[in-house]
Amino acid sequence: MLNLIAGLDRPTSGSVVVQGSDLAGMSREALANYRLRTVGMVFQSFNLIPSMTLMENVELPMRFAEVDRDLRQGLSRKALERVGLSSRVRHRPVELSGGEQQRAALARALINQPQLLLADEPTGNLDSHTGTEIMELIREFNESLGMTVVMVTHERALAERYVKRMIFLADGKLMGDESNALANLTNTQGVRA
Amino acid sequence: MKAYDLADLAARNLRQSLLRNSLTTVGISVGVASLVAMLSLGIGLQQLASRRLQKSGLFDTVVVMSRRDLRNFNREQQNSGPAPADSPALDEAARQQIERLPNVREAYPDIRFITELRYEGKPHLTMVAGLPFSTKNNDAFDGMQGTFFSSETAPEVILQKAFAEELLGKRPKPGADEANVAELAKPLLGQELLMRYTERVENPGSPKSAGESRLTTRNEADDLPQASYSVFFREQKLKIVGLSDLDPDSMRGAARARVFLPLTLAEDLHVMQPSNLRDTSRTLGGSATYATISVRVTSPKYVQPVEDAIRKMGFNTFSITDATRSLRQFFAVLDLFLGIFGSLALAVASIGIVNTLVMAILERRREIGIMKALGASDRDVKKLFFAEAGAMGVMGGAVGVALGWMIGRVINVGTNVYLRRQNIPPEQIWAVPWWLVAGAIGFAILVSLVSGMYPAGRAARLDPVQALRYE
Repeated sequence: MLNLIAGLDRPTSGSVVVQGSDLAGMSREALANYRLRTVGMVFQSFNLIPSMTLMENVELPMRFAEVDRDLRQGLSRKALERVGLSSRVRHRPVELSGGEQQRAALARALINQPQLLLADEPTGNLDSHTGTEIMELIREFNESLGMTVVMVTHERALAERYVKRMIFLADGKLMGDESNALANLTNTQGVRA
Repeated sequence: MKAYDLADLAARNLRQSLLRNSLTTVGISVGVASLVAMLSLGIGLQQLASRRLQKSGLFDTVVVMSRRDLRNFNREQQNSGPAPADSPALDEAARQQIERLPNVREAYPDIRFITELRYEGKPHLTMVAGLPFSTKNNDAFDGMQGTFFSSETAPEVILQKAFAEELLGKRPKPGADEANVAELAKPLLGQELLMRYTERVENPGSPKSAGESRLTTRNEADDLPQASYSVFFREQKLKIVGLSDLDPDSMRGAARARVFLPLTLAEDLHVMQPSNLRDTSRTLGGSATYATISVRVTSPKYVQPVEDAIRKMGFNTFSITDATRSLRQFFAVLDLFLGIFGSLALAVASIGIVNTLVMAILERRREIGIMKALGASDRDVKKLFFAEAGAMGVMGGAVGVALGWMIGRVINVGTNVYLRRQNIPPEQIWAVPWWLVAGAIGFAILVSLVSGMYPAGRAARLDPVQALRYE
């Protein structure tokens, strides 16, 4: 489902409408631009490029967005500071713990200021303590930056603690949709899958 | 993606598998090197050949003959243009007129006569020819002993080897090696010869120029004595300054004699020419005419226009331009073949590029998937692979040109060592003009980019979902 929303995959039937435009009808080029500017992705296995330092990893989406070289350094340093990695900017992913890697991945996902953050089991490879740290960060960004977060997880307990709306999927079928009674929906984007 | 980001990422990727990419680049270098080496030799040989031809004076010379002459061997020229009787005389005025034509370096008369030369009191009959001073730079006298004429009017002679043998009373033994020019030169250089000849002296009242000679074509008996001159018997002392090993039967026009005088001296002596006597029997006028005039043009490419201009003046001409044309054709074909053989190695190298990049796709599958997930377009990925292929092309091209330059140089040095052992003067048989350098590097880049087309396309079409799942 996340692949469909991210524009990485195309639906065999039906449509995926984000911000009023149908992803199914977009060209490959337009989808790439959509991934670049509208969505940010966080993966279970972090997916940082091992040969690049954290700084370079965070810079990468800005290269595709053709942000000026002089501007990029400052922006990526600030993004890494925000996730508490200011002392690790010159490190490579293998030199870091899983939690640190996921925080760097989060910084990378947010660097182009997306309106939509897609998280594919972001805590799946982390111990529960670090997982909570990551979730706190995501919530913080959700509130401070005002973007919608769509997260896929197997941990119902974790999800219940943070989400405003839960959708249950099993074997590709929609099993349930419940809004968290405590949540007041601040986002206006509709997500259909 | 911006160009510097593309270059940066490409360089980073190339560094990632340094050994493999270096080996691929070496492959391209070898291909470019073989191409450069082959073509540098082809071009060098061509330059050598045209240098030689230029020096030989064969291909920048037009021989001019009068149409009145009986020596018309070209049917086409025979049947076009003015009738022989109406055509102008080939005399001094005509020579000056020809020399004033554009792109003409010089026009000199062909002066030759058979006469007697005395050496140590003994007479020797032989053909004597006037040699223009510009011949000094021809390769015809490369193997000469002694020196060239000290001035254009110096009473000096250069002897042909066979004549020197005759003077010294040596007979070439059948089956024996050719006589050594240096040995023959020793007793002869600096010695004196006495040349006996007949001088033609115009009688007073005789018309001198070609323009006036036209008047005498009126068939009035009173005019006939105007075409008269006297013949005097003279002697001239000549110093032997040089000895040439030229074969008197070689095809060079001026070389078909056994004794050579400076041309200006020969002209000043007013030696009676064989054609003079023939002209006297015809009502052509009193001024001396030349049998042929040799015209040297500034460059072989001007031979044709100069020939046309001279024919328009009413003379017959002869040149060997066709030979240069077919020579150029030969070298074009030779270069083509050398280029094809040289390119074979580059073709093999291009397969190496494809291989390397396809390997890189497999290795970097996940990375490509990540880049696409982060917003890289198909075009970005494609450009990245093209940049990597192009970078290998640039490096391989540059290294290859240097390598090819060295190979060509080594072959040149090796050839010259061999030539020197064979007692042949060394030659530059190898040339790397700037366009070959630029062309080879450009060609390497082109081949690399074409080779990169398939891998780049494949990388661009990679499905990110599949790629991200790939561990």
